[in-house]
Formats: sequence, C-alpha cells, structure tokens
Amino acid sequence: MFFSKRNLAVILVLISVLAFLLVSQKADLEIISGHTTEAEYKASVYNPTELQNLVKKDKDKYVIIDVRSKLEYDKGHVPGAVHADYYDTDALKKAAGDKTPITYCAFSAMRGPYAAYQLYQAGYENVSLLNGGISAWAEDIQGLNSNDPKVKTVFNHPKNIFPDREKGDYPPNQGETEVSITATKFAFEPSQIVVKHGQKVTLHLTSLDIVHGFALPEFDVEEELLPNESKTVTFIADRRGNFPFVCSVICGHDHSSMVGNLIVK
Amino acid sequence: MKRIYIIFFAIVLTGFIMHQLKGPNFRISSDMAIAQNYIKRGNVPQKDSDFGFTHYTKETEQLLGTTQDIDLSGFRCSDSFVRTDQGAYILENEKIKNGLTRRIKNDDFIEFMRKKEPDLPKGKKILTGKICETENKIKLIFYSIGMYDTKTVDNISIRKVIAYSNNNNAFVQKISENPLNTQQTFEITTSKAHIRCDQPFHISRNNILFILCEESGNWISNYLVYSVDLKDGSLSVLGKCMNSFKDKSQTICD
Repeated sequence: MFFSKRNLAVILVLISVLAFLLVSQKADLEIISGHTTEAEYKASVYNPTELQNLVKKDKDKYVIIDVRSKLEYDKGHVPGAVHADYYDTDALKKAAGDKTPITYCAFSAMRGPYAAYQLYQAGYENVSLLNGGISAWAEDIQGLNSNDPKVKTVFNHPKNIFPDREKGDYPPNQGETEVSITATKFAFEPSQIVVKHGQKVTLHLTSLDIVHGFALPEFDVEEELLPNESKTVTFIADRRGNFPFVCSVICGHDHSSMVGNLIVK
Repeated sequence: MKRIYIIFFAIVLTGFIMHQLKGPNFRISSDMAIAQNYIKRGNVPQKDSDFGFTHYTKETEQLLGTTQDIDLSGFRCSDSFVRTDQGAYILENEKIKNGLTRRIKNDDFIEFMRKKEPDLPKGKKILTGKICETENKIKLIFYSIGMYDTKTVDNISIRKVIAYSNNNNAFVQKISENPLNTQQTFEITTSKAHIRCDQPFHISRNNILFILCEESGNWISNYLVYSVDLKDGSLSVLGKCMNSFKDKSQTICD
C-alpha cells in the first residue's frame, strides 16, 4: 500500500529536508522577487586589492574614474585614475572611452554608484565600483597620487555637491503628480517614474526595512530614509530627459545596484 | 529500518529548528582595532585629558576597587566607532598614515548592526559603538542610538554632529558563544542629549559590569558610573559628576 509506515516516514523526511532548504534560500528569494525593470542592472564591486590586481593584470582594458569634485581629485586620487564629475555624462563617457569603467567617490555611497549607473545607461554594460571608495584605497593600499603636495586630507569638501543647472523653461499649468516610492534591499518600487515636463512632482519616500537613502541629484534631492518613516520632496520637472536616482546610504552588498529613473516627457 | 528513518527525521528537524532560532553573529576582526591582550581593569581616567572634566570621584574609585582581581573576568575592547551618515562605520581614534580614518570592513558585523535598524524607535539611528570580548568569549556590544539632522553633516564633521545629537539611548548587547548565539540587550540609560556608555571599568565573574557613561550637549559634560547585571539587565548608579562650562566651569559630583 502506498501509505505504508515506511513510505510515510520517507515522505516526512523529504518534506523536512525541503523545508530546511527553502528557509535557507529565503533571503535570496526576497532579493530576487519584487524587482522592476532595473533588476538586470548589477554593478560589480571590487575591494582595493582586487582592483589593484585587476588593473595590474590588464591595464589596457580598464579605466578608473574618480567622480568626486576636481578639488578632491587634485588633493589625492587612486594612482592612474582620471577625473570626471559624477553627474556629467559626457565627461564620464569621454573618460571611459572604449575601456571598462570602474568608478569611485569618497565611500562609494552615492556619487560612485550614480556615475556607474550613468555609464551603464550610456551603453557600458560592464561597470564596476571600488568598494569603500577612496577611503578604502587610502587605508588598504595607501599610495595616492596628488596634484597638491601639501595635501592634508582627501575629504575636505562639502558633502552635497549637486550639478549646477540653470532652471529650465517649462510649460505652465501642467498640474501636479504624486508618487509613492518604497525602498527595500535592494530596489526602489517603482524604479521608473514618468512625469510631464512642467509638472509639480511630489515624491513620498519610505524605507520598508533598513536605513536607505534617495538621491536625485539633477533636482537637488537627497534624503535619508529611516525605516517606516515617510519623507516628502517636491520639485518642478523643469527639464526633459532621463534622470537617474540612486540609494545614497550604504545598505548592503547590492547597494550600488539600487537605482531608478525619473523620466520627464 | 523504521528506526533509521525516525532518527534521521529527528536530526533534520533539530537542525531546522536550531537554524531558525540561531541569532546573527560575527567574528571579531583586526579592522576593529581590538586590543591584543585581555585586561582585568579598563583604563578609565578620573579626569578628561583635554578639558579636565571630572569623570568620577575618589569615593567611586574606592568602591570600584573593592572587587578583587581574582573575581574579575578579563576582557579586551575594540576602538570606539561611529556610524557615518553614508552608512559606513569608522573608528574614532585609530588612524592610518596621514591621519586618514579607518573603517570597519567586517561585513558580517556591519550587517549585524544593520539588522537592528528596522526595530529602532522612529527617527533614531545608530550613532556610536564599541565591541568588547571577555576571556570566555562573550561579546559585549556597547552602542548608542539617537537623532540628528543629516543635512547638518554637510559642513560639520560627523563626530561633532553626533556629539550634539539628541534623544539618545545607550545599550549593551551580550552575545554568548553557544550554538544558538543567544543574545540579550539591555538599555543602560537615556538622555535628551547625546549619551554613550562605552568605557568599561571591569566585569566580575558573576557578570556584573561596571561602566562609565558620558552625556554631552550644550555646555555640559556629565559622567555616570553604572553597574549592570548582565544576567537580567538590572542597573544601579554608583556615581555621577556633572561638569558645566557655559559661563564658568563648574563640577558637581554625587
């Protein structure tokens, strides 16, 4: 008979093993499910030693791009790194050329991931970041190139460095739109937001798990998102285009892949 | 044959339950600047070296000295650290060449701290911490939480911003080295200003911790000596010294 004691015992064992395996995989399933169209974007991350070895092995294939301000770059940067401001897509593309770009900033919290995503959207499929930014390099490798022999610190800058943009002309009476965005490890939902040129945009931002950040530099937005506490930002979509936003607080191993786009049509 | 299946099922079920119940953990690593040697008594000066603030009185010192060395458990501690507004953990005192900061790179530890974030009171985040380890491998994490406006970090160092944070709570979390990594967290004290409890004097073999807490804010620097029973979290204040320096320097100790 199928339901003999022996067979029942075998079934129970198999169910137990399956339950154990499912629980072990639960964390991975939480990460994979619930992603939107940006799920395919995943920046590689190298620690300083890995990066040093990578570039030493194949220096013609890679280019390291320091995406902090020029002031910071001049004070000290990774040897061989070129400079491009994190928000300047044209400068980033020019710096990357036909090589595989690896970006970094101070801690690779906001500017580094933002620049990497910009390059990805510009067609560079394999973008990478230096994990921990220049602070990690300075600690692990220690050798820095500098254009300023009197350099005392590489961190002497105001934190919020946003692109200097003139206010654009926009059509009047385009109304308002409100969007609620949630942040979880490691995705924004929704990650693609489409608004009309000239619309007043209100974003309600909430983290559903840990501390995240939301940075939309082109519209001077940078907010820390504490768990279950909503933040509201408002701005006019005064320019047409595709404007990335990123998580600006280091939130885990896939932090740099937590990205999205505000599309102004 | 039946017995074999039952035993196998019991083993798998036990493993499953333990896996579910096991608390998160991390290993102490060199990037935390942990002291090499275990000591019986922490080096907690009676006065602050920079401003001369009194930490505790001679009477409190004598009280602390009544516990004999033989009754104390050795311990060692990391450097204290702060959590930056970008979510990085940096050491407060240990530096590298050129005075640049050192980070904690231990991803398991950072993830361990991140796991606290969903359960923190609204508006609060992790500010400072220190990790200590006893001779019998119990880990003690001293950490404070509180509020500050992230925008103020634009032009002021994170350390200063934290020193002027508000609505702080100071905790000690004990992690026992057993298969389940059992953990207990005790709140030591709270303050409307910034408070941190991360200077242990000593830990007795019956798990009584004596620790110095520092409260700082506008023109004040107060110090409290607590005893904390690490078995059940019961507390008592052994001494308090209040230093104020608004118009003139003044110290009042209980």
